[in-house]
Amino acid sequence: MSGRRTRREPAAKDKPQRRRTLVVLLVVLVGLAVYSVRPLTYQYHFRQARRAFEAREYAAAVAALESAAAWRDSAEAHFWLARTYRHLNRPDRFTRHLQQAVQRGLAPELAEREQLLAVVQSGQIAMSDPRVAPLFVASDEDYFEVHDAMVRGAFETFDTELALRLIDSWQQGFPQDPEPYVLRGMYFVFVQQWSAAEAEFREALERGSDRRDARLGLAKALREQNRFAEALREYRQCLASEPDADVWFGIGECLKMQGSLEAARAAWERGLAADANHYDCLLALGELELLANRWPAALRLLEQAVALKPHEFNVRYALAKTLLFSGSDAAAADQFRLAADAQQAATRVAALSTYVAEHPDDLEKRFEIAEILLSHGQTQVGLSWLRGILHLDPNHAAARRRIAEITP
Amino acid sequence: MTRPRRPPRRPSPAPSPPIPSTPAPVAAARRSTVGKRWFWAAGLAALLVALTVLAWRVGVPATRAEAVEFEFPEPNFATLTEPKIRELCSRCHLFPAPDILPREQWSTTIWQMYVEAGYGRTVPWPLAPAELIAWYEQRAPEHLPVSSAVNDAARGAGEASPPTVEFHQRNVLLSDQPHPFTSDIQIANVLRSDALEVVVCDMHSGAILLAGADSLLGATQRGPAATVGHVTHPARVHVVDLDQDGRQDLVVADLGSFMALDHNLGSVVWLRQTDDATFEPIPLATQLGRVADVQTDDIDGDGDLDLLVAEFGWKFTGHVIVFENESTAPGDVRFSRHDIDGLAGAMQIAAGDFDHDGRRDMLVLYSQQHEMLRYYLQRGEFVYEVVDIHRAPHPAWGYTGFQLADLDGDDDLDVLLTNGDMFDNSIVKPYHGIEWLENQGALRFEPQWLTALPGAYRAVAADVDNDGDQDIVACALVENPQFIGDASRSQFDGLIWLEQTHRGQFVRHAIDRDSPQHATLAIADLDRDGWLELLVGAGEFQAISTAAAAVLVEVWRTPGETP
Repeated sequence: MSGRRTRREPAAKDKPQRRRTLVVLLVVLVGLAVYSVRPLTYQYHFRQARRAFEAREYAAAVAALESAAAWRDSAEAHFWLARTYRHLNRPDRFTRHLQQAVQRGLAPELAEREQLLAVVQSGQIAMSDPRVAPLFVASDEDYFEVHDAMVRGAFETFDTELALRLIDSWQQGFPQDPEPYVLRGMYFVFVQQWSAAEAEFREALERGSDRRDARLGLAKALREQNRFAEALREYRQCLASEPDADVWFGIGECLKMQGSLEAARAAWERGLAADANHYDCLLALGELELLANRWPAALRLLEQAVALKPHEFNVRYALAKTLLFSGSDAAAADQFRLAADAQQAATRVAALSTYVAEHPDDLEKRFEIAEILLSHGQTQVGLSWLRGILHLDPNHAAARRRIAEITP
Repeated sequence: MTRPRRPPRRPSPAPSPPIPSTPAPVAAARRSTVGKRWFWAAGLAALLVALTVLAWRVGVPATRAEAVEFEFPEPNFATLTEPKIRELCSRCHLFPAPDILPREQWSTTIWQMYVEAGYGRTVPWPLAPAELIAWYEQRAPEHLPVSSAVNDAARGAGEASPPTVEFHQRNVLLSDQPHPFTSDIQIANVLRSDALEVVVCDMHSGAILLAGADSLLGATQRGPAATVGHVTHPARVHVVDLDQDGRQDLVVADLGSFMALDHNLGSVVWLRQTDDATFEPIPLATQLGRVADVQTDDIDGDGDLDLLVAEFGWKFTGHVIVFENESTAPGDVRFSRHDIDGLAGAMQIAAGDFDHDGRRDMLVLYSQQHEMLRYYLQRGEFVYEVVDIHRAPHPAWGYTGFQLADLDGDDDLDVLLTNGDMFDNSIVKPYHGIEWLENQGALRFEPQWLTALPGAYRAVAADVDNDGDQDIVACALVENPQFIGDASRSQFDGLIWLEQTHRGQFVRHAIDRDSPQHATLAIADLDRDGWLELLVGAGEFQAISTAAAAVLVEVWRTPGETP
């Protein structure tokens, strides 16, 4: 008994001490946790954002950067938000975040450089412009950004020859970089050479299997070649990473072509749940309702889609057919007129574009393309054609005049 | 051996739970201190984990979880067998043999049909399209044997016998519109003057133009034309005194769109000639599909002219329609509609008493998937018996027009046919050309192949060499060379004539060897010198040039004529 008492005495003495230690430890731990949760979480989100950015998952990058900025409103986070929005072609948000980055201490020369990249990327200045040359003095990371902006600028002004040349040199310099393959794949998508696009996207994925844009491009290229089962496999991989409306639309298209119309409908509905204003999903669902003779539902979806892209032939035509079948003949005729006009314009632009690809110096045909596009509401694309003309001939008066009329 | 003694067990006041690993009092004491410690530690850890997870989860889209739940159904198609293929591919048209298209074209064609069949919803589609394509591709030729071989063989046939008449292009009628596309030419005495006039439809600009024959044949060599009317996209014009007021009017078939579409923009427009030789546009029928042809005939035998309309439509639109004239007085224009047939693809219509029963009948040429000539024999007022008198061997045949003419001089009307439509897939086909159906009486016709002509668009029978029998002049429209691969368009004849050397025997001669850009032609002795002039329409669907003065009509004359 006494032994037991002897053993228990120090324990009884230690008890308040240990308790104090525990409390101190707890306080320290909680303090540490409170102190470190912000920077740690910021770092975590920021790293996630950079990873998404490198994988060209710009929507995911924006989400992660916004989360990071919520934990620490840093110049760094706003700079990368600006850069990501530049890639997403959102000039308003690009400018806003770049300004916020500067306000939070971003070096002005970095901001200027980013601004210049935005200008290059939008095709507003020619490659011969003296402001472009200094961009080439860049770190590896910026090398990619500069080349990316220049290639996109060349595509933007329909100078495909220059764009492809830049991509080739990029690929030679960095053979393991997936980006040049992705860009060339996008070019082949633009010219609708689907098997060539497929090959490029496959090369890109070999060099970077997490490149979601390459996988989406590959899925589209396969879909356009009517290889729906293969396309579906790629889309399902995209689902695992980030299921957005584009992925759901592609899945729906594949399922439709496999004859599974109800499953296609479910996919497009998922797409609209992710983005209620997704044009392709709206059009696809509207056409499905048209096929099923459900006119009111078709009208609702197609009218919403028309509001998003009023100059697109496909949606006007689908809407016109729906109106015709539902007995609104006069309204249908109005829509058919707009659809026929859009179709004729698109046919003319396609024929002229083919001609221009073979005769890149024919500025008058380029100007005709621009005029057709501008008269059919495609201001940005029309503007790009006009800028392309000025790159080839800075003194082209008509192009200059039209640009001045359009841009304030 | 003795077992070591165990310490004596402490008696417990109550039955303890079985097999406690630690003596109960010690465990209880530890629970009081260690348990609290673990409680706090675990709580703190849980808090940290929760905080971290919460922070990590910020910004992760909620839809990610949903993706896993989506069900991907497997395609449900039957096993491919030849009988099933034949059954499926004969539902809407004659069965197409694999050799009618080059291998690479089958994929596009079959997928297109699958889409048009509503992905199996509107037309049951039991076979996997990809497997069907593979079946066709395995059996299809890599290329159709066209290129220059078809034309060379045909040209060779003509070289054996030199032509008795040679034509030279002398004059052109110019358009002030960029890239015109001449869809129809009619020669008639429209203005009741001494000379003939030429009426021309420019399908691109929509202009209906009128030019005096003098302006085409005069010393100036070139002449402008006056625009007398305007519709959206005219396909055909018919010269007739519709209101029987002594003045020739124009009745125009308006497609409503330049490109092929299903819509309700088509119309029939009456250009009514007024006192001062101007033309007042009066829409007779609107909200139609694409109207390819209109003719007038007193089809119901009540003394006025009714309208016979070939509403081509496209895929789901299209009819043969009779508009019954119910006008009672000048200025009171009323027509009531009678739908006769609801097939798409009616491209040309003609009226006549074909079965010699005293009632007026109709003959309609269908293209699209039907590719046939169909009689509508009137059995009662607007009640017709349908008799198909001829069907092309397959749905890619591409009929473009017909003419009723007594080709063999046996006092009955034969049918002269062209097939050369390239607007389905822009492929030059070896089976494009000219044939005639020899009337053997009792509504029976014997098809006779005349010659291959890629892009054959119009053939007209006329005594070109003044030897008393009917020869044939034909023109071709081959789409822009960029769409026909490595085959250069200049390899193909644009204008030919077939000289009838013996009854029913023809020898081919080329007139225009290198510009197949003619959708229509008309023949007349414009200068009344006993020799025929050929008026050939010009135009391209995908013209790049925007020259201000483009050719609308070419005039071909014989060398003996005055320039």
